[in-house]
Amino acid sequence: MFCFGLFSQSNFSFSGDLQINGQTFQEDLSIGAEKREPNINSYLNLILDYKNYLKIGTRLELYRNPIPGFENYEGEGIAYKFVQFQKWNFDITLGNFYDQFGSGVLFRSYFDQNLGIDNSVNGARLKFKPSTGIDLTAIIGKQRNYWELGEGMIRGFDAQIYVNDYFFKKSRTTINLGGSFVTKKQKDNDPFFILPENVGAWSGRMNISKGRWNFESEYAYKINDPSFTNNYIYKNGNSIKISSVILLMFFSTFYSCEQEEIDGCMNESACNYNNEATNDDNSCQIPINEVLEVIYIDSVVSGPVGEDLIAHVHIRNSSCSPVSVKARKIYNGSVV
Amino acid sequence: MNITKVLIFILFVFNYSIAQKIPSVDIKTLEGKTINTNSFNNEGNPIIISFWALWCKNCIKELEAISEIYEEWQEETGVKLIAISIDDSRNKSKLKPFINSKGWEYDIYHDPNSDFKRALGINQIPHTFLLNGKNEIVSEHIGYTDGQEEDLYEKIKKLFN
Repeated sequence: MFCFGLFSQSNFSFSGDLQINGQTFQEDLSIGAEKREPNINSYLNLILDYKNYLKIGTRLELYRNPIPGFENYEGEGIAYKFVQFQKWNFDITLGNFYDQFGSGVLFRSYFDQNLGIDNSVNGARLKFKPSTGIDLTAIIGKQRNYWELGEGMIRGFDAQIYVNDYFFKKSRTTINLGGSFVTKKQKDNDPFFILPENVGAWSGRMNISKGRWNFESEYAYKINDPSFTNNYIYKNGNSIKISSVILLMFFSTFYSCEQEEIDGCMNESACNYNNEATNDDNSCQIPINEVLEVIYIDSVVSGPVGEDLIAHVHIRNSSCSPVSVKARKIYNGSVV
Repeated sequence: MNITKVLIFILFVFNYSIAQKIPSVDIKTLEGKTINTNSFNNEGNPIIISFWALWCKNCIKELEAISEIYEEWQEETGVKLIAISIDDSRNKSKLKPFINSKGWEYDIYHDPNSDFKRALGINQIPHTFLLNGKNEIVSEHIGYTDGQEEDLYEKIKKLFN
């Protein structure tokens, strides 16, 4: 990897960096290793800066063939582009950006090319400091999902207040308060479940420090957001994080407590048994005894020639491994 | 492979660098206040910027090695070391006790979502930059091996010739 500054004058500066990660393969018959195409992941960042208040930047990514673990990134393209304006008390970004609210419980967009993580938001961000001691941030956009954008439209607002800029100015105790609100709007395309199309979440945080003592806490609440990854749980969630540090002369102590109520299935014989669950939410999927149970919703389907016919069939599996069903072409309207 | 050739070509064409200023990015103090990297200032003396994290053993080794001779360096060259932690927010409260236990005299800031790290195109840490009195990057190195701080000190002294 190397960095470069192509030119740098009083007004303009143009800088960037290029990183190439590669793997080549050697044939080795003694261990049965075949010759394969080399793998390359490459990232080229370019940033043009005008007088430190206008920035235009982009990142080109190339994965050909992607290094194992990055398969979903196959191909090349511009993955990141932005225009940023920073002046007076404003900071406006159009395009892709990374940010987080508080400790990142509600919202965090992040990039790490070594981990293959890039969930930058593609949209707009406005940061505004109405006066010293107050930071406001508003965001809108969709997050990157490999070469595409996620379906959910994210809107968020965050406020951070440094209390000591207004009250107790001379006090040795510093107090910072913060709060966030984030919503996700996504169309319900699920054929079976009715999913909430607007999901809201909020959080509040407080940080107090005095001399050698520091206290931090954040509480977050989110309304139900059933999805495949959480086994379609229709339950609101919350989390709290509290940590406190006391510095003594020669050693320091650290207390931290993090508690999250985990909803899930607590029945061990269920397919979706979650051994970390602390609250049973009736989401258990228990396999049935029969080999396969088929429930016809539409036992007879008819329609005019040349048009698509849709038939619904429910199938319950007797094991936890997924079942696959093949549709067969039939003629003359006979049911199979 | 064609693409490889193109990339290697780009590598050679652009493989020179002109003094580059550090980008302006908002980072946090350990008290949680926002500070812009524009405000880094050492009254015309050189600055070392070192990226580290609690989980990065080599970073801590480097910072400890410099810490032992830091006072000497400061007296002779007026250099200042700014250590930027890229730990995520969840580990932020562990920073102060750790720094306290090491007794580091550095200016230490927190880059909670790696904004500054990204702006400088950093991939691996430890990654250390040397800035001249005009806040321009004059050299950088990635990684740390025992005794490498001596090379860095030679580079600092060269700035005064």
